Amino acid sequence: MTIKKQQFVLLAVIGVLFMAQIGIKIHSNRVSAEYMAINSIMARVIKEVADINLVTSDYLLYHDDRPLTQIDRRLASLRKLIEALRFRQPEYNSTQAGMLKELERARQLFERVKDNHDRISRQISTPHSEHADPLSVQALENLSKNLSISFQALATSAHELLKSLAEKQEQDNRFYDSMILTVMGVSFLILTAVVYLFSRRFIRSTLLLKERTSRIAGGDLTSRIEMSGHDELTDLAGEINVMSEKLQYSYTALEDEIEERRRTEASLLESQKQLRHSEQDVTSLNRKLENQLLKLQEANRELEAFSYSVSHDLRAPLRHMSGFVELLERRDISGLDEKSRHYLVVISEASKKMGCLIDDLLLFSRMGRGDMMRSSVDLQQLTREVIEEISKDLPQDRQVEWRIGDLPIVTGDPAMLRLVLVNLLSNAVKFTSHVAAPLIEVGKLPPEGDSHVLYVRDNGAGFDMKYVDKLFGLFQRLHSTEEFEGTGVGLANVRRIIGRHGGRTWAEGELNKGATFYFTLPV
Amino acid sequence: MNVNLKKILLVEDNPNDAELTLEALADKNLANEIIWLKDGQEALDFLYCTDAWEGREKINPVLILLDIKMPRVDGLQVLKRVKEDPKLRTIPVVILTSSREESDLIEGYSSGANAFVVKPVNFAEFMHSVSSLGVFWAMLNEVPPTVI
Repeated sequence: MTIKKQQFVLLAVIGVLFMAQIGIKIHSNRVSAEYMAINSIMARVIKEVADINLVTSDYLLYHDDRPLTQIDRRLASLRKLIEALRFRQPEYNSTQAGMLKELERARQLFERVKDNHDRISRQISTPHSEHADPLSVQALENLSKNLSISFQALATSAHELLKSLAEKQEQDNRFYDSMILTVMGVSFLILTAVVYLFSRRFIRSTLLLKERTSRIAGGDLTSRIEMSGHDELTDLAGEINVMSEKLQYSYTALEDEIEERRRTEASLLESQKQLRHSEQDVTSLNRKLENQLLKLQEANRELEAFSYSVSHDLRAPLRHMSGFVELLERRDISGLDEKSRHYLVVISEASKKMGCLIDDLLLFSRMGRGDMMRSSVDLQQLTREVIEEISKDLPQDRQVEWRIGDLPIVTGDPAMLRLVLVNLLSNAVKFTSHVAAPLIEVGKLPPEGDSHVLYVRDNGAGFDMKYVDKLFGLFQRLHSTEEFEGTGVGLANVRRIIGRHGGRTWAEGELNKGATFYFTLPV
Repeated sequence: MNVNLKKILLVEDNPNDAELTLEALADKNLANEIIWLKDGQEALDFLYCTDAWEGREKINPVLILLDIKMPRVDGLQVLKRVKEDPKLRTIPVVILTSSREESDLIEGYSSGANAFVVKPVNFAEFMHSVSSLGVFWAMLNEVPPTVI
């Protein structure tokens, strides 16, 4: 029950009890008024009876006629008074009836008294009799006596009635007083009970609320208020529960957030630490790298010095060998036998061969170092130029069929790329020298990622795929010098140059069916 | 020794190379006196008429064939001295070397070399190159006459 309803009920109870008391009071007042009305009537009745008795006595004493009408009138009025009496208690109705009967008897007695009195008076006044009939007088006296008794009886009944009424009134008053007291007592009890019950619940709920809210305020967000019923306090408890639940949720979320932040901060610190370590690592690596670079530069310088030495000093003795053999041949060598002359040829060719090796080696070394000049290179154009160049050195009777595909324009070092094409195309020419109808193709495959894929294909001597790994190695040769001349540096140079351009090289071939050399160049 | 002959200076430390070069030049029968000097210092002595060459006829050579790698003073140092000296800078200097090194080539030309020839290993080519040089620079090429 809501507090508002409880309040309403309380007010209603108070109102009902109050109304009950007022009702009892009004009723008792009305009863008292009735008693008072009856009392006043009864007082008049008693007075009338006394008056009539008095007047009647006067009449009987003085035989005066004048009171007669007064007595009649008074008797009638007395009758009316008694008839007017209305009682709450039915037992008084018989008393009233008795009084009326007594009054009627008194009236009849009075009538007879009056008749007797008249007769007597007439006897006295008549000439025929000087004295009244003694019998009549006696009768009159009896009658008068009876009348007086009757009046007295009336008065007595009236008194008794009055007395009884007074007792009744007293009784009623006591009854009503006790009733009011009872009602008041009951009211007090009911009100006390109701107020106690209501306030007990209210106080209990309030205390519970206070205790739980202070718990919540103290930080115990898991605390919930268990309360039965359907009043405002229960609603309040529910609201507080919802609030603390939300608070708990927010608190948990906040704690999670804080934990998350703490973790983030920790991981950040860890990252920073790692970063510092990494920085230190990087610094130490950089130092190492710088050292390496210095060593590398040193090595490079040494290598250059070596190359220089090779190119300058190694070549000179060769030149001398071939030069002096030549000079010797220019002289008269008729004295020499055939074998000696053959030796001279061998010496000359060996020195020439070594010269080629040195040149190629130096070229290979140069391709690996030095700066690259990057510019736009039209491979189509370059291929045509290289083919033209190679064709010039070909014997007149060698016919090679060239097929040049749609070649792209790339970015790279023109001299280096030229060397790549020279090597690949001259290789192709070289290895098709034993073929009846040499066919050399230069073409382009679909791009591989961000790279152009180019190839040089011939139908020449080819190679066994099990030696494919050796193909691009320095001084690696798959054919005898008698079969095909060469130093074994060309393809090594190709791989090195393409590598420096960010591409890769590979080959496919089959013995006596030709070979295909692929290389990629970034777009 | 004909004092009117135009002199060609061959600065070469290697006697074999020198012999081959002399042979090649002799092959063309150039009407020049060829003076072989064994290193850069000797070349400078000759050019400035000092030391062993003190009191020589003060006429500049018509051509200097200069090797690079030599003891004491190397060819590039000689080249720089010659080309920095107003009295010598008109002498054509041909660098004749075994080196194909790009750095030598660049340094040679930037120091004012008139030609840079790599000695071929092949003797026929070598003969051809050297004799062509002799013919071109000593016979065809005209230089302003200078006296030290």
